[in-house]
Amino acid sequence: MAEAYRRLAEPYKVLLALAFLGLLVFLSTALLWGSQHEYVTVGSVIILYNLGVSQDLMEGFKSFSNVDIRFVVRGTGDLMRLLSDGSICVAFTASPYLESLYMSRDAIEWHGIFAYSYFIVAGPPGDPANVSGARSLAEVFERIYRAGERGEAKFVSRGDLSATHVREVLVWNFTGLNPEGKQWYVRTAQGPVQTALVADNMEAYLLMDEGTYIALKSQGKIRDLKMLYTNKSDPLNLYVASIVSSKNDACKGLRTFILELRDYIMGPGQAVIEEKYSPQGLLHPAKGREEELRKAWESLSKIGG
Amino acid sequence: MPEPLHAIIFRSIYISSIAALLAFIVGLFIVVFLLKAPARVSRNALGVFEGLVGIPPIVVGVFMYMLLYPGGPLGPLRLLYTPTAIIIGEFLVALPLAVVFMHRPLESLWRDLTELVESLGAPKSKAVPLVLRESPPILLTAYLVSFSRAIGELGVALIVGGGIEGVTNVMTTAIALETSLGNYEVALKLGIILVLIAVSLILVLRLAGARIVEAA
Repeated sequence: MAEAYRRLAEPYKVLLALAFLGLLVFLSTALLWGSQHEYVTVGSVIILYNLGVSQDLMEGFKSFSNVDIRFVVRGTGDLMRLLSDGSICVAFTASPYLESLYMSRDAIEWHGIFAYSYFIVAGPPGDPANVSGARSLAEVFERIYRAGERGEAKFVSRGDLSATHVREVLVWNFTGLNPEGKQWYVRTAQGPVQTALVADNMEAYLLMDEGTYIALKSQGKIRDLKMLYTNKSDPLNLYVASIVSSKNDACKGLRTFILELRDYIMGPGQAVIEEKYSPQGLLHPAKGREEELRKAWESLSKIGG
Repeated sequence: MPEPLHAIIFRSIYISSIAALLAFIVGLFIVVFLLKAPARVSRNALGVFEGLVGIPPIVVGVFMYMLLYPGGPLGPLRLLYTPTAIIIGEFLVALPLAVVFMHRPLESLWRDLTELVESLGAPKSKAVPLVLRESPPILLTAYLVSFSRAIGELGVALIVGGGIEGVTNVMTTAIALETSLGNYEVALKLGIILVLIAVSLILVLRLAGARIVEAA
């Protein structure tokens, strides 16, 4: 009987030893990770990450400091929440309404418009609503509305309170037409890339920013979607950098670093955007147009909710 | 993709295997406790675990976030966006599965073998070594199921891991990011690799497990 017990115990000893080994590895690595050197967690909206702007700005800044940078890629709503919690220390976002909401609660600080892009209307190459002949964004939307009512066109909306969506709502309001609940009006509640892909597959129209269109087209991710309307005098899509509130204890040891980062983005970082992204029309630096962009942001921030 | 694929794969396997191991060990203690407890207690407790089997990992992720964010009760530990945070979250996700997958078979094994031992006129305690001998395949299955659940979940890895390249980017967060960037081909490739890893790892462990059982 004792012999049987001894033999039976063998696999259990192996299992137990494995279990302890695993625990040991787990605890030691947990400790190791905890003592790793300083890093700052930066949040970026999908659009800027897809273009590579966030990474370029942080890479450029890295040469000034030895702090590691870690990226979290989410939508603006998520990022604002994470920033106000102190889970991330810096955020690159694009939604005036959501940004102003968190600013009014004093949950985030410094709100620097560092870049902008133009809005365009893209749609099926056949252009059933004939928007390419329109003279203003409002006229484009009116034509899409009429074509939609005739059952000849569809429109895809972000529906996520992003800058693009807010701009779209403003234009609908301006025309006095309400597409809500119409058969031809689709909401994706998703990011810029997903929404463009949906429009491409549905042969629908959408409002989007020029940078995303150019990037997706050159990456071959959209097939038919065509840029049908663009007007450089129309309002702009704004990209904003914010930092965690100084009242928040999180990121406290990184304060100097974060302030240096701010100076970098508004200073040398502007040249990075100018040289690398402006020529292709992907994104333009805010430098020189600060006042105008600030006003545009303020008018956009009132729409939402 | 800036981060090499093998780094993401190894990180996924490392994190999920530890999470599954923790779920397995704690689950085993819970099962032993439930087997000893009065039938009414164990039945209700098991019902709770069965209900938790299908819990969306994202709910566990948000719950963990509320504990771990800098202002949360466990904020000072600075665990948010670390592999440790994913391990703890995936442990919670896999635990109910580990318990349910061990409890039923071990319970029926215990019942059958005590009946057998008693019918032969021996005391109940003589059934213990017999149960021990028969249980390794059950335990192995419970561990492997926990591992599958851990490596395939996204919610926890995304919310408390953050999908940070070089630190917490695992297969599922990489798939989610590539999808949001419209890189469906890359996402699909990663998905196929994820399935292949899970299946082949389980096959290998099963074979090894069968060897151990035979050797015993």
